[in-house]
Amino acid sequence: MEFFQYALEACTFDNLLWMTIGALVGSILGALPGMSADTGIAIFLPLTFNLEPVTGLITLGAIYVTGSFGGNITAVLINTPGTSDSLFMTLDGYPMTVRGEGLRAIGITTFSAFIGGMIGSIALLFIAPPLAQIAIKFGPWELFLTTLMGLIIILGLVKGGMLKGLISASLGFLCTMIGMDGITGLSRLNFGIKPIYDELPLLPVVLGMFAVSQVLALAADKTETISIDKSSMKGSPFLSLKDHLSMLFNNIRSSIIGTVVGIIPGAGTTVAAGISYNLARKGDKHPETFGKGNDQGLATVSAANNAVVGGSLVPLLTLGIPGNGTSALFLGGLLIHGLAPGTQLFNRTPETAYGLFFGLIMANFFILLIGLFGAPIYAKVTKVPINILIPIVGSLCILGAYTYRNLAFDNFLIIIFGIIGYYMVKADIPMAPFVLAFVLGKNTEIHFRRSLLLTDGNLASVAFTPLAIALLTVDLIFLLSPFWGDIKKFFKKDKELAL
Amino acid sequence: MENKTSKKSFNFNYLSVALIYIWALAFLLWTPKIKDPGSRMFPVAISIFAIVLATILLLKTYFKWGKQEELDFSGSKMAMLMAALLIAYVALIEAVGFYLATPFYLYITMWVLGQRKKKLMISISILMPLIVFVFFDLILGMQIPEGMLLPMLLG
Repeated sequence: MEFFQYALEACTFDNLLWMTIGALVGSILGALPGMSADTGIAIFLPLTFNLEPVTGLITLGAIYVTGSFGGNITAVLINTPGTSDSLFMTLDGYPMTVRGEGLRAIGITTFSAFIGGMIGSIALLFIAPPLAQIAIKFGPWELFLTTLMGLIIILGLVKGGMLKGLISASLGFLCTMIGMDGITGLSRLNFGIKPIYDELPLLPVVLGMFAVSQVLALAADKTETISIDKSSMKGSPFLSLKDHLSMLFNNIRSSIIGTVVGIIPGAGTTVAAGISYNLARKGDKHPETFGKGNDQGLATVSAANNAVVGGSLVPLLTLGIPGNGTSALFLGGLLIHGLAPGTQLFNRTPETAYGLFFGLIMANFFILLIGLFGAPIYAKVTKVPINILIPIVGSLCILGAYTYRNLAFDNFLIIIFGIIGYYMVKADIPMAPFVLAFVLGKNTEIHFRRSLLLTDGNLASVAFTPLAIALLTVDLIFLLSPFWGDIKKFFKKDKELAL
Repeated sequence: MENKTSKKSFNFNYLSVALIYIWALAFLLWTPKIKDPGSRMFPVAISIFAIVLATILLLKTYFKWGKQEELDFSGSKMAMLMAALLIAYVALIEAVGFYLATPFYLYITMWVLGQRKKKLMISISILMPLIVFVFFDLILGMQIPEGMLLPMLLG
């Protein structure tokens, strides 16, 4: 089988070393409140320039996998999720810690995250290659509808309201049009600034919005350090066979849910965790114990969360649609290495695609190492004062920007976008739509204009094919889906008022 | 739900609207320089769309339609100070290079953020550039900015 051949090829010292580095960095950043896998990927994007594409992607993949897990440790031990993905961990994880079962809770979340991550990564291996072959049948109009889907899905990502999400996306779309027009090849909207005649580069935008804005936000928040009560660290993270078997069904079910939800762009870990948690609670003999330190409650959300990682990369690698904000950064990683998602990735550079899958599967084993042996150490990591962390991260961001084009201009760009990102966080304008629109906007425009050119303006000739109608239907479903929640809330309010 | 503040605090949505208008108008006013009509289509459409959305936000904020957010910009002075330090850091790197600029940046930023353990600050200020040298320069072979001063001194 192709995968095994390329997996063996990917087993080089460099790849394994960088996978280790990525896994450690991802887990540390995931554990630190205020930091996340997004920050780690943004910082490492430029640093992977000098690496082979497969090595760079393996590194980013390892950060993604362990970054999603890293937040579980602080969520369970100190009720402070390192990332919003780990929010559900606090429901049952922290109560377990309070009653002195902190290490046992770490053990549960570790094994469950491992199972979820493995199922998600293996699903990616089996689903992505055939899906990528289907994508080759897409013409410009179908590609336009597909990239449009990615933009519409932004509405599902928005937390601050659809209006601000659309505003954010519009501004990101405008920025992506700076530089060379993909159809005419002429420079536009460059405002007379030479370094952006070709384009507004992706790296400074991403680094600024995800990493520098975090530096500024942490400085503004003045959080110092967080400490862990030693009495919560009793017991062992190693569970008995009976414990493992009792959670197996929930773990597998949640992993499948997480994978499927991850494939649906915009759905994310919160949706996956929510669905899994509710199913587990309804099926449990003692549902009233959920939220008070129930093993199954903790296991189910841990498995679902990490399964989303593999699932979210399916639409990204096959159709170029990021499944969530983090995978949008991953798309940046592909683009920076000169790779394009879709059939090209699997047909022309299969060693890169399969090498990445191998890396993701292997990175899940780091979850076991970190959780089972490293939890007490990670608990100490949270003690690093923020006033030391901020300047170090700031310096790495600046260094990262220099590795791209060695231009001071790029550093000023990251600072500008860092300020913009900081303002957006404070003004409750979501950042993810901006970045998604920035990443997808150019191609959306190119595909649309190419469709017009190829059909001489007569889109009816391509708009009514079965594939085009199917894609348009999906687009409309995604466009209308944010309103269903509002309608349900509206009727719920009416009921409450009546009571 | 309305904002519950005892004093009339500035609603930063108004500032957001102003900034969006400036951003979108800057793009819209630049579009006449684009000769090709196909190339002009999306910039014009998206700029106008952004202006319309900003206007809706303005009306929503003024007439208090729907849920009103509570926006907290406290701590922004420190955030802007950090941004200023980063700008100064970049300028210093351009002058003296990464290895000379970084210890100063790290020490000053730690001090501004309230760190007072001098031995720790000095250790980190020296250790971090050293780690960058070993890991990124020697092992990875990355080009670390040298600045203008070092090449001049070395000839």
